[in-house]
Amino acid sequence: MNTRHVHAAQGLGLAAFVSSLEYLARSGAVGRITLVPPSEMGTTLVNLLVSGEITGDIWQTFSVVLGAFSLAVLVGIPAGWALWQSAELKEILDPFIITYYAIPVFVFYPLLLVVFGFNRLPILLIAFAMGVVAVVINTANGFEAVDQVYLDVGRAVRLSRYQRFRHIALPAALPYVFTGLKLGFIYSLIGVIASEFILAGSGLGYLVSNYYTTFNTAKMYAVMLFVVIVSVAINQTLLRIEGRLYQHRVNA
Amino acid sequence: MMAAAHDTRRQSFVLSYRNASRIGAVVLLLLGWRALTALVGAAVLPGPVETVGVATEGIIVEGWMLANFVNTLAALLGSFLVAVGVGGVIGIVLGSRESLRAVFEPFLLNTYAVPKIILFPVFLFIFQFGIDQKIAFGAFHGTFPMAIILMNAVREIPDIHRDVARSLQLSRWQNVRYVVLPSVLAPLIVGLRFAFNLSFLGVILSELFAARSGLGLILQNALGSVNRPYIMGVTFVIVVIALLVNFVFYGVQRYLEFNWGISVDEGGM
Repeated sequence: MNTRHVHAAQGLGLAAFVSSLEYLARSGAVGRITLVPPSEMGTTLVNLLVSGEITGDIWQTFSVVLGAFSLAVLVGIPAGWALWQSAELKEILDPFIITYYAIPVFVFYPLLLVVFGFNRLPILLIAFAMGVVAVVINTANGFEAVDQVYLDVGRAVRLSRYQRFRHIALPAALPYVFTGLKLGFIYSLIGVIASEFILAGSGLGYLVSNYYTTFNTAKMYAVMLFVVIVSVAINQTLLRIEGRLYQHRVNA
Repeated sequence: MMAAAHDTRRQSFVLSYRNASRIGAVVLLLLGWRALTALVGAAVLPGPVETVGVATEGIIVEGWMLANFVNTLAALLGSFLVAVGVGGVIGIVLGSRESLRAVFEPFLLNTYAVPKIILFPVFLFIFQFGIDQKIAFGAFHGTFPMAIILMNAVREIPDIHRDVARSLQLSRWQNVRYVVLPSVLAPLIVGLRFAFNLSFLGVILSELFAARSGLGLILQNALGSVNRPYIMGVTFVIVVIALLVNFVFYGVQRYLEFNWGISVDEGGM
């Protein structure tokens, strides 16, 4: 099976799925309150985007995602590096990292809401808390994967500590660090959308839950479609870059 | 002998030193929480003792949390089982068939990255407000990590093992039991843990948004009436459930690592 066959099969599968939804909606087998035809989801989405009705919410959502993600990177990469530097520290903190991973961070959202009030801060904190752990762990894993021989060679040719980091450890760890960044971004996005969906006054997640409770089915599906398209596009781009980084590592 | 005895002594000293640091860190965390409570007032942020008190009162003494607690656990168990079954089958099939994997892997990876909460209304349309809907939404969250982790594990089985299995003419079941299972055991534990954690997230999310019972519902009600002790108590119970179950998974994982020499790589998820 070559790439063209694979893409054809994927395209056919998607087309079959979308047209069966279209048929279900148009034939009246499923009522309009429950499902609108995918073609109408598309046109509604275009109208929403062109009229500027949801521009503010798109901006709201992605500014918080970017804020939380930047914080996760600023905290996560140095923390991951520190864990690699001190084996003893890593050994001591290991149970805590494991414990942190196990906690469903999102359940703290109601608590943060009553402590910090009904604003964007609780959403930012949840998204940061969900994103940072992937950055820390994958950064630490990445530095650990650096072959000791290379570091020894660096020491033998008298590279400084910084030079060893810049020219040996960092390039070798980069693909893993990138995996952490990819997951960090995706988890931050999930955190923001979920918080907005459960309780917020603006943002894409809020729009979907609000259109749902006001029976505005066409607009609800339009925004849903938008979130799915955007998150798949982001993920697909990050997966490509990631694949290339690992490929580069293998070839080098 | 001498050296060995010396090593053991040194190791146990290091272990206790580490454990002392860990206990110190936990005590610091609790003291920090308590200090924060003192700073902003118990009315704003209930302290550790009060929180544990509310949790025990809700489950054991007065029991206002008990029925919802049981309901959430039932939904969680149901969705975990569905996620493991469905995700497991998808993972094994895609892991062992190259052509199917080429077609379906992008769908699997991309769906994992979509904020699934956005599709929640669809689940409400199909399953209404009962426990079926909670189970379905929880399972929807848990299935993808299970399938992805298992798919990658099956794909990594060395070709030589498959060749030997074929030359011995093992049946399909024998193949699964003696070739596939032993080599995917470690990733399987990780997959089960992720399936559990994400199913739990799915169940809680669905209870927070629309449910007639469950811990998420009490949490939502407590949020609506700004009942801080209840919010703390229920959050505490949810976190404790997650921790207890995860510790069991970790126990199994450590056992495999020490006794079977199987190490588990958790990167990439």
